[in-house]
Amino acid sequence: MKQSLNPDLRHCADAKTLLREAGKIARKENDWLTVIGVLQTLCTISFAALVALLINSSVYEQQDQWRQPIWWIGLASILCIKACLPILQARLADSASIKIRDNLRAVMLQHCQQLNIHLFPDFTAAELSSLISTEINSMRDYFAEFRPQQRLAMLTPLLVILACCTINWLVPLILALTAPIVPLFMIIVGHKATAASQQNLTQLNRLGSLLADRIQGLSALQLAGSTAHEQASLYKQSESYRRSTMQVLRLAFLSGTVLEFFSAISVALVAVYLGLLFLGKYQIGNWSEIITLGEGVFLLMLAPEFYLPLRRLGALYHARADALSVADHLLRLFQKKTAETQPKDNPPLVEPITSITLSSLQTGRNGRKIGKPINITLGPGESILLQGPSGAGKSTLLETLAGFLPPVSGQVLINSHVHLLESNTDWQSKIGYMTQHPELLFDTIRSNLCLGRDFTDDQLFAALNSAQVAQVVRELPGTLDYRISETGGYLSGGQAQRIALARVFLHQPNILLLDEPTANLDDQTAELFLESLQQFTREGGMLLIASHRLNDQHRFDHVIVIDSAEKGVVEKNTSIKGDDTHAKIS
Amino acid sequence: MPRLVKRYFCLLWQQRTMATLGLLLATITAISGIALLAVSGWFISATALAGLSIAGAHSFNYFAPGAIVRGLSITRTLGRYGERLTTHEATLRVISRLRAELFGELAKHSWQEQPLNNHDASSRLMEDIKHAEALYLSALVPGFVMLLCSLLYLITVSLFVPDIWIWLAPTLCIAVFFMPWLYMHLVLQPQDVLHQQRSQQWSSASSLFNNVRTLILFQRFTHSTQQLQQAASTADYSEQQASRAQQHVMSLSQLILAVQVLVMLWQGLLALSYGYIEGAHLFMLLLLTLGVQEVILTGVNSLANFGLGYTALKRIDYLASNISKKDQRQFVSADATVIKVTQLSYHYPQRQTLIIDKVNTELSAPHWYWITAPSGHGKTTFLHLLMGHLQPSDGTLLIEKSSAEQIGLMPQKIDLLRGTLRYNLCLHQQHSDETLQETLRLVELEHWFQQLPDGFDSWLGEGERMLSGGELKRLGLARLILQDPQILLLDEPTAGIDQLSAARILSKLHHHWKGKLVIINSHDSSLSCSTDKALTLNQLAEGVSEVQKII
Repeated sequence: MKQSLNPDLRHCADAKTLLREAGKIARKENDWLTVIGVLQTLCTISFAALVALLINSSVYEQQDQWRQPIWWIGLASILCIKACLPILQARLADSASIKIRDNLRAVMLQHCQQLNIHLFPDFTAAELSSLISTEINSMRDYFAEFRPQQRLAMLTPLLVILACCTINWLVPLILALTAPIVPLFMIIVGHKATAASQQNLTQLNRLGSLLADRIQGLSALQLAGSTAHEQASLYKQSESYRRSTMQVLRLAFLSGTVLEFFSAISVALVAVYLGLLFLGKYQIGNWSEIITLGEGVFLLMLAPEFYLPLRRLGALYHARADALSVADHLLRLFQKKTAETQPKDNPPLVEPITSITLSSLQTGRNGRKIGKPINITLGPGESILLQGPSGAGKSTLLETLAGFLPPVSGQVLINSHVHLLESNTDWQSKIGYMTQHPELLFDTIRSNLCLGRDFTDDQLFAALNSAQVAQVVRELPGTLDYRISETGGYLSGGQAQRIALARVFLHQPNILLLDEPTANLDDQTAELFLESLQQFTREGGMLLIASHRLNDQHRFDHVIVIDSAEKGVVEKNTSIKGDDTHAKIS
Repeated sequence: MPRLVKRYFCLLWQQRTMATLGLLLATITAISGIALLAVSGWFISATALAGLSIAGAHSFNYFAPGAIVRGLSITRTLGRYGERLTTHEATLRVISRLRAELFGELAKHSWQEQPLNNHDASSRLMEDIKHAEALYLSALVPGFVMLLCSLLYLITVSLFVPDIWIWLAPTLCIAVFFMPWLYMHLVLQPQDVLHQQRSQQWSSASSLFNNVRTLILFQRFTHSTQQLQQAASTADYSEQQASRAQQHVMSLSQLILAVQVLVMLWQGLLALSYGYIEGAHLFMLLLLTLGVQEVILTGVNSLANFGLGYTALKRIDYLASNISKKDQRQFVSADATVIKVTQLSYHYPQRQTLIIDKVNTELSAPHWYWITAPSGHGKTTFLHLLMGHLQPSDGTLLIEKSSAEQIGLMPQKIDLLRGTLRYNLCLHQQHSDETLQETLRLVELEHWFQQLPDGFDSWLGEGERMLSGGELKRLGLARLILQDPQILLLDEPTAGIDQLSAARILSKLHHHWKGKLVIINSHDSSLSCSTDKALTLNQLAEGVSEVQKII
């Protein structure tokens, strides 16, 4: 990142301010674009002037001046400059828009990094992905074309009026008088069009997410044999989107039509006015007594140029509407305040960790308690099995310990010191945590395991071995370089889970927090896996595991049964490993 | 021509009234715009020349030209409005039908072997289809208008200066034929690259936001955001390249048109000096040329737009034309429901080893069969073969007394669709509330149901209420119960449900599905009941299949 980030972007009050602030990032490019735009108008004016002079001399004065090459050199060079300026313009516009969008992405990612896990559930992963890619990309037209054109829409008409003023005062007056009517009309029409187009964008997003959802759930519909019905209902949705789009377009095109009308009628007015002036029907509007054909030609050629920039701006109406809705979306993200920074009294973690104590630890989500307070101490080489029906709070406890949820009350003591675990990166680097639905990157198995760090293939296979998945990986096409697709590809649910587990093993944590690691394993594989866990604790690791398998209790030092909240929590501590007398509690 | 492009034009033909009207209005608008300029130019030149003498000024009839000019300006304005509305209406109608048809097309295929990339598919149905809009809206209409106006221009100019077309035709041909071709040639390739990079950018973003926890835990979040920024910059660079190529061609076109203006002016002045044309016609011809050039410049990208729309449709076509194999299952009528499996083998494409290796077995109603095999040994594959989602590499599947509709599968992953609970249960079938309630009781979801705010009309799905793993499985079972097929295939039906509830639910289902053929794939064989049979997919012992009673 060469340019510095603009932190003000995050504190804008509304979408318009955000766009304006973002536009300032490329101020230099914008200024140059204005200069080029002005040059282009000057070219148009001088082309009109030359043509007017040429026609005047040859037609009106019937002279042979046009045979002199100087005319043609002049005309050719003006047309050449006029044709080449857009190249420069496009370059500048592109680099301006890229600069701004790059900055917006960086600011957004920075914010996401600060929010990290708190992004969810307010935003979904799909929503954020399309915001940072498709939506921010769609702002191109706004920053590259709409914003530069906005300034030119003021300057060009002014230049044209000034040029016309050198000859005549009525024609520029006609143009200047119609000019304020145009924006007024556009505001009236545009106001409604904006509202309608906002609504239309919502419709489009709804249609898009409906389609995405139905494609994701395609197999359910296929299995139910109701894809034809779904197709019909999608068609209905698509049609209702069409109707709402047409509503927007009717309004949006109306504002374009107003411009079109003025631009057409101004040519007609100027032509009729000049014609009658030439015929001597009246004598108003001109500075001099006599008006030459050349002057008339000049005025007529400039009349349509007056409205051209406004027409171009009108054609970009969608760019502004799109950019505004993206800015709104970004602001919604920016307005979600980042979590309060970690209190400074959080003592640094001292290695090695010799004990983890849960002291009346009450877990919960959004302030709602789940389960009952828990008291337990875990030392090196010890393991805890969490049991209980689904929804009782096993996953919530593990999530709290992994630092993704704040406890409702109670504390966690590490080496007898109180530590706040939430978003504690120090702590998170010590633990290996695996959720019930492990996350895998849509990338090769190798990058999924390494996550951008360096490991040898032997290390990778050792980890895969501990997770009982090495053989599966060896049989995949490309082995470690097999790309995991969004749907899992050749990997079954249980295999994907074990790859995530291998990743946990690979990074060699001291503490393992595993949520239902055996849920998708057959008995034989589960046995082997549990044995490798025992190996882990024998080597001094600490283990917390949630499982609903009832016959594994003898493998763990402690068993915590979390039953549904009303029945309370029963703790049993079997200090001797492999104690088969341990009874089932509930 | 790809099938979809054909289909597109077929749909456009269905909207021919609207489409032709749009084309007509576009032509009228363009012609009246050019005529407005030309007539105005002639009018002021003629009046200026007439004004030189008092007699000329008196005899000049200025009413007709004045009226024509006003009429043309109004025609241009209204024509433009009408043209835009009709062309958009026609396009959107075609698109909305095409979109629904494509969904139907996707739904016809089974995506077991080559999994459908969900984002890719939905983005194609939304984004690529927008490019397809271009086929009519920004390719056919401007292209047609450009050609017609150029032709009319040549004819008109030749009426005034007979031989001038020889001078104008070369530049005009280059501008009308060669430049659009060059534009397409230079723009399509970078656009294609851009398209790929943009979707790469999306997948990096999706990877990042779907793995937030993992990336935080392993302290790789910053690393990934940098990667994402990188991907975005790469795509931005391609975008710049594409835009640059476009601009170069546009500037070249403008240069060629500049040559045309100069030639026209020169020839006009020459004709004037020889007395071939009147003085008033010179300015008119010049404005005529300038007006036509404006139309030509908007048409330069028409061929490229056609190309973009064409490749977009081809991309979607490729997505939908996934080679679907013929259903190899055989259905015969008989007295009892039996599945006969002989020498059944299957291997996934790109993989050498057979995952199902010459399995022989006979499964008959009314029985429950438990498939027991270690994970990754083809249990799910076997069910998909029975379901017809995969076609065997070898061997036969004979199904007696049942049709394809009579086989129902509860897949391992239950998809929750965004919609009401009723929609999620029925999936477009009709069931009474009592039936639904009865079904929820069977799968022990009634407590969960009672805490829903709006009963069967409660919304479920992403962004709404999500279900836990066990609840999803129960929803899947409920769907299957409602579909009520004769042969039931269950893939890991109880994963995520605690053993006690799982056992209760299965025993209720034993009762409910009495007389049907049920094949269950579960890693937890302790849930099987005494009357169930075990089915071993033995890969090693060739051709051996054991059906044995357990316990």
